[in-house]
Amino acid sequence: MAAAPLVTERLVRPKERRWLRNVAGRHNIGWLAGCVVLLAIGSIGVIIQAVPSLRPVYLQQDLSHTLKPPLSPHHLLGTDNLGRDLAWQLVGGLGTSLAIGIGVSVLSVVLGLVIGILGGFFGRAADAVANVIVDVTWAFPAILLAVVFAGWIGPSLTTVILALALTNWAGFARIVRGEVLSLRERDFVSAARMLGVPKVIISVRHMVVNLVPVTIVLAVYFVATSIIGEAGLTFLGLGVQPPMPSLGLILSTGRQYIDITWWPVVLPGVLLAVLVLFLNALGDHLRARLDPQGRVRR
Amino acid sequence: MNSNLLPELPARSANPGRVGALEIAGLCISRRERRQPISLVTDLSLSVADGEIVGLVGESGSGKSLTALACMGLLPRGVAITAGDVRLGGISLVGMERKKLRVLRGSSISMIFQDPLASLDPCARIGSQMVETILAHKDISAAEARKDAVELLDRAGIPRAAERMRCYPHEFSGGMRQRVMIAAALVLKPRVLIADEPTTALDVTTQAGIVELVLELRRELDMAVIWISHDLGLVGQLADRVAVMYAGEVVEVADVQHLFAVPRHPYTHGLIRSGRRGEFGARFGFIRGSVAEPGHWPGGCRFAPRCDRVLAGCDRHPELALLDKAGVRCINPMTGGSGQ
Amino acid sequence: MTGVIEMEAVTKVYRGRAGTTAVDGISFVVGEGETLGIVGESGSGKTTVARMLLRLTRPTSGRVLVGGSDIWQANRAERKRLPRIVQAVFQDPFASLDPRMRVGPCICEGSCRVFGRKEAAADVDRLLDLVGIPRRYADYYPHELSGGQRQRVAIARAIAMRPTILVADEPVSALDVSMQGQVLNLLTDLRAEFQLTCVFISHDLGIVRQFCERVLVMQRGKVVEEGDPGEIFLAARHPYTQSLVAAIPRIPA
Repeated sequence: MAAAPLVTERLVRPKERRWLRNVAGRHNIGWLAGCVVLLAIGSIGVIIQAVPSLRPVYLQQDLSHTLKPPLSPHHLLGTDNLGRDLAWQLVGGLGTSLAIGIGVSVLSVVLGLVIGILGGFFGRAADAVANVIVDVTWAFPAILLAVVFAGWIGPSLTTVILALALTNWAGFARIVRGEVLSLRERDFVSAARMLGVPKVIISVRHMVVNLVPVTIVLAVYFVATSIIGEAGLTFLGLGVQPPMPSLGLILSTGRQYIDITWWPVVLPGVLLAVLVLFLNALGDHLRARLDPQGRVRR
Repeated sequence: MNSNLLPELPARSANPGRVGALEIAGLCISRRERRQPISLVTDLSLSVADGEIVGLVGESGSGKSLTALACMGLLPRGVAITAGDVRLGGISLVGMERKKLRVLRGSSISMIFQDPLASLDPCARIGSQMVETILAHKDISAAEARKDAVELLDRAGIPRAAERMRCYPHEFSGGMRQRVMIAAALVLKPRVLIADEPTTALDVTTQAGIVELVLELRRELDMAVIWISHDLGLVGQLADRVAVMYAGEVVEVADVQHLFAVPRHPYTHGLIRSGRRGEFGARFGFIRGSVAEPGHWPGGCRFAPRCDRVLAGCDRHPELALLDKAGVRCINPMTGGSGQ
Repeated sequence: MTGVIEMEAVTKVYRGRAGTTAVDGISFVVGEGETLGIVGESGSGKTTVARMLLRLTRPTSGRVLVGGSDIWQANRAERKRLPRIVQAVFQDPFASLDPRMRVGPCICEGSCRVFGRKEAAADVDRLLDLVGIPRRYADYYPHELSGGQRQRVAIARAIAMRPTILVADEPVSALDVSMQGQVLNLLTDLRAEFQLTCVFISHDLGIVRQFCERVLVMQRGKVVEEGDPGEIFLAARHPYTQSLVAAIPRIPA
């Protein structure tokens, strides 16, 4: 009684593991390699800070060999004003930057998703409250918050992460809310509501899942912006404190000796620039592949 | 039953024997896809004479819109003509340099689309858009160009045309916008007009008005028209000849009356049957299976998987034999009458 | 007369500068097992009527009664029961299926919550058979199916809830003509098998005539004509309906 069995449906089933091939495809090799290298160096940077026996690698001061230039014996990139090996300092700093960047990015994304979906999907009252919170946060400069936290709990890694995350999420929440507003009109959301699926489940199963491309793109951008943010805050003395290595710290202490030596300033600066450039380019590349309609506006 | 279709249908002016205003010969279009090209249209041949309306009917994946874009030289990136020729009044368009093509576009061959908002610049007043088009092709003064534009807007049924020249496209309703697009497309009185589903997005009541307008303009300007649609019923009302496309090729061409009286290709027959509406409780006609996607066409006859009249020889790709501008691409066509 | 569905003077006004009245005081009744068609063009308000019936858009005034009780004044328990009574099939088969959800989980998305995960999952195979889709398609994503198949998945998803009322909002308008019949015949068969009460919304009077016992013609938020589709086809009373009928291109017989 149902429709007659169909003879030709799709003759060919697209291959299962296509997504893996997409990711590891030929034109993606460069990006993939870059990410692997970055994460490898970053991990090393974190490990040398975490494992006590490795710490001397970047902490070891040698006051008889201060401010040595690059390509000195034992010190590939020279030493800083306390005789510490600059190369390992940079690696350590990279680890710190990446850790902070990823930490802030994840926090911003989670906060932004929650508030954005609450505002966009859970009724007018929730939206009004969410909008107020977002607007206030949106206007808050991270530096001001960092100063407050620095005064309150003292400058540290936590201060930096909190200050950056608590100001960064608002922009993302706005974008999420916009996406949710259009997603909720889509028929599959109406259908899910009709089927009796509770709104919370719809939010996770349908909204978040469909927001993944946008989220990934922005998460990568956030890593870049928070790295710069951290470097800036630390440069101003509000962020990471010694002995924790940080690119901003190397820059700020190196600044005092700039008329004698250029490498404690230039090297971390170049590294920062390259890092952020790579992350931004990666974000753009991801955006082109995951979000071709250009829904994400930076 | 009331079979009076449109009010006061103007007499059709089919005039056999004239030179083809637009001739498509063996057209092949493919899309570059990573390693292998995918065929989208194969071996398409069609000719339209001055003053004739040819309806091009097909469903999704048939390649009808691509054919239209190919004639205009507007194929999207990655899609290209790989073989065959398109001749406008005898001049070959394939491989013509872009500058020359741009001159021809609008003045000799013009196109109207399903979505007028997509083809009209939303930030420019329609008057200036039309005048700009005219001035790009004709060496006349701006005032004369404006007069031409107003005249055509008026002819297209826009009330208070002179005032409305200063309006933006979004200030018109759907049907009016379509009329504006028609006026803009015909302002240079082209020889050939290609209409790609111009009424699909319109209400049924507005549709009739647009159809009537195109028919009248066709008569006045002696234009050759290719009307593309998925709606056989609509095409049946306004075309002189109909070409049915399936999976990138023409499967039947015939005079409109013959096509509906004796559809020869099983697909045409199936389409007609699917479009027919009956009394309450009657079964709906359909063609089993679904359209094969480009890249997944079977080797022989592309309609064979869905056909009830399949023979052993259908695993070889059938040719389209044109006799007197009519033909069918099938080795076992239907011969008419009820049932067979 | 008590019917399964009753709409009493339902109005929907959208706020905004102009304050558009999408639906203006509509009243109608659908009896049990009856099929009502609602015909109108864009802007007629027919989709808004469907959405108010499905509890997706709140009416500005009036009552929407299903089985005698107002669905918009329902308490939590009644609201939870509603998905088992009224289900819908929407126009765009691609939009109504989550592109990131496979067919199988999609079909039992709602029924899992009602009938228990195991039974609902077993039901999926039966439903796929019912709508004429091969069982192995349960693992496919919507974009791997044709438009007609997607629509049939949407129908399977609705039937999985074992509803008594089915609202179909332009279910075949986005499909190729040659495949519309498959879906329409399927709906006809399901209607007979499950004794469904149907509300069928369309701009195509021809389809409505063949599928529905009664039809409402809507224009700009109001009902302008009501009655037997066959009669309306032959002799419409209201001028708008007449123009609708006259403008339909028909296949020369």
